[in-house]
Amino acid sequence: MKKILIIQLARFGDILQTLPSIQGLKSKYPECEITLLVRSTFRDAALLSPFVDHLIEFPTREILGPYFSEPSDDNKAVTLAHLIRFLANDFMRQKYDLCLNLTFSKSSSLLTQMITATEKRGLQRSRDHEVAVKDPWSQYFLAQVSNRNLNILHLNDLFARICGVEDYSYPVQLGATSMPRDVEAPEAKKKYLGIQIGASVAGKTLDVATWKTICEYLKKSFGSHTLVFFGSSDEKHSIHAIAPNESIVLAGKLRLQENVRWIRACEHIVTPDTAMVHLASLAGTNVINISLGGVRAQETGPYGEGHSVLIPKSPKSSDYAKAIQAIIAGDAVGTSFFHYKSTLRKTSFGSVRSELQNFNFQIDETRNFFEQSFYLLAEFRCAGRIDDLPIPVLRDSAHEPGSNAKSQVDRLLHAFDAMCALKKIGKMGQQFAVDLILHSRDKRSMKKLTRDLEELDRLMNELHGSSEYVRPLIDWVRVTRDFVDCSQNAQERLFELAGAQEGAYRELEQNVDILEQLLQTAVNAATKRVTKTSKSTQVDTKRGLDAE
Amino acid sequence: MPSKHFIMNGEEREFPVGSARFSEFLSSLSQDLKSSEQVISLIRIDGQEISDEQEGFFRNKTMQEIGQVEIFTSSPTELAHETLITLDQYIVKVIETLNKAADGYKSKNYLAADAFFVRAIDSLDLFVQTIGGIKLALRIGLHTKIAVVEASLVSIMNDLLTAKRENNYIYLAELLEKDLVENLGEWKQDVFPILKNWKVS
Repeated sequence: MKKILIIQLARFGDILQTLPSIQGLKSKYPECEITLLVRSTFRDAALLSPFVDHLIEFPTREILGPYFSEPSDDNKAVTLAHLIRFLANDFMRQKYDLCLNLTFSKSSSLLTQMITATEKRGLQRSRDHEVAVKDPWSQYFLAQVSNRNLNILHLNDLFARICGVEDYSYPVQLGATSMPRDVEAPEAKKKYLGIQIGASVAGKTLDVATWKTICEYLKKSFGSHTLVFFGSSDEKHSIHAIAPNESIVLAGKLRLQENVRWIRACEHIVTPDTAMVHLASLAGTNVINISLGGVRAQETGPYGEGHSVLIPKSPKSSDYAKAIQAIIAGDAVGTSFFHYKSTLRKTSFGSVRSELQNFNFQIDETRNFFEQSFYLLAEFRCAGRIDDLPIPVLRDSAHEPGSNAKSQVDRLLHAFDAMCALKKIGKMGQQFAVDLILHSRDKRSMKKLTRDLEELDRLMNELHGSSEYVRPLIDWVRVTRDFVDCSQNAQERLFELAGAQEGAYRELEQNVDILEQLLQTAVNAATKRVTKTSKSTQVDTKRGLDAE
Repeated sequence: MPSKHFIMNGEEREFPVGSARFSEFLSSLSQDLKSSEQVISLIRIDGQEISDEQEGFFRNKTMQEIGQVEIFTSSPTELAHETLITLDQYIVKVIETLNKAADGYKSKNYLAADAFFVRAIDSLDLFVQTIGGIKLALRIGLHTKIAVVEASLVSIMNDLLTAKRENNYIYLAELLEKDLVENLGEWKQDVFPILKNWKVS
């Protein structure tokens, strides 16, 4: 592998989550030359990787700015001219061995189409110019992450799998972390607590009053620590309103990559869902992530060992402060939050992956079962391997105080019914697809078969809406079936599409089989435990009677 | 009883029993050839080379019913060396099929992939049988290098069948396009030179 192009046109967070994969590629192929394409606005995140040989900036503002500010014909022409000039760039004319498009936007596939590369992964265009995805982990991304389905694979780990470097990505080295001379440096003997209050949208962070309460509480509880405020210049005003005396305000003084030295000097960083979560994780500083606004912490939360994620139930301002104080002091967090802790788990095939574990609450076991099962299924389908994961036991939670056992059993039964229906759909879909090939010259049969396949699709749509536990199976079928690399020739295209349909439905049937087996194992384990428990209860009762 | 003329290695010969079946003629001839360590390498009937399947068609016919028969013989060693030359080309074809099957499994066009998979397995089976025949002809017993490559092929084929049974398409594709291709490469590079230079004692 000599020349590798990585396209990452998303924001700071996604670029930071790509850095471990870039390191992994350099480690796996030491001789390779890595070109990274990012949007100009977010280039600072890319500068953190010492393994990027060529950084190319996509000038989004320059290209799209004029047209977005005033969508006139003149500005359209200006935008097109800028775009053409960009596409004439040297890097576009190179021949790459591997092109990795880690931007899962359909427009990025157009860019990938124009690149010459021996192998392409991620979104691209097929021979008939439609959007296509060929590699299994990118199909997984599109089916599960883009559709917000059950997924416990962290994006760092998923990107590494798409790049094929999950064995090579950790621990991460950061480069270019120097600071401007006019900014004070951290003192070795001092203790610091870092705080980031801003986020890309207001809904992702707390209000200023709550932050003020947190800061006052932290200052009171950890008098020996200095609070350090990170962020952009937009946040300076709010920070000055809440920062206790003797705090250090770095907001607006440092570019993203220049924060690393200060982040490393902090014992903990308290932050909402921002790029700071990823930056601090990469720098190796403990993160306390206050996760608001429906962000999926399993996918984009802090990565590594010992970070905390707090998801509020309905806390008061002071509860936030107490929870953060408890985490720093190593105490239990109160019941106003779901407290998750991150851990690095070694897989049975040698690599590590980050996982969030429930820390102060009972997990929803049905959901947990399906999350873990879909992870096992993903490793099998995308990498042909089986992670030696203990299959979660579906406990007989009816005996637990306040259990929602009935609803759990109901959901499980509902999912099981949907799985049985999907298995039948899988069988019929395979048959219809084979018939499409066999009767490709018979127009009447073709019309009927197309209608039959549409009917199957309608049935799948109904099931899709009925249970979140079968949604990953259905979206997997859709991606496999709809994003196919097809020829422009009508006859070849028909065979390729029918082949892809057959493949998608065949996998569906097999995937349901695998899930059923896992479910059976989980239920058997639960039954064994229930039998054991009831036997011991009987013995205890007998002893009690004898004593009387 | 009329006799039947035939040509062997360009020389005209006579088979005494014209009413005998073609199969009896072939067994009798093979018996005679044993002493001179020769085997039948080619049969032509009326100038047309006949395949194994066509041979079956003629087996029950009497010699009188069959046109002009031409027989060519070679020594097993010569035959083995000739076969080795064709195996070189055969491996190229097998690799093509393996890659097509792997591509099918990777692109999830399992219908096409399965068809190429069956063809690949048949081809490999024939390859193994042919190698067995060559070893027998060249009287090769245990040879470490050959044994290692053979064991590796058997192990890959076992894995292949397990992967197929478990519907592990990713592993299947990897075995087909990497492990098997690598193994066939070893046959070409390491084993065939040994076989080609083998002197029958």
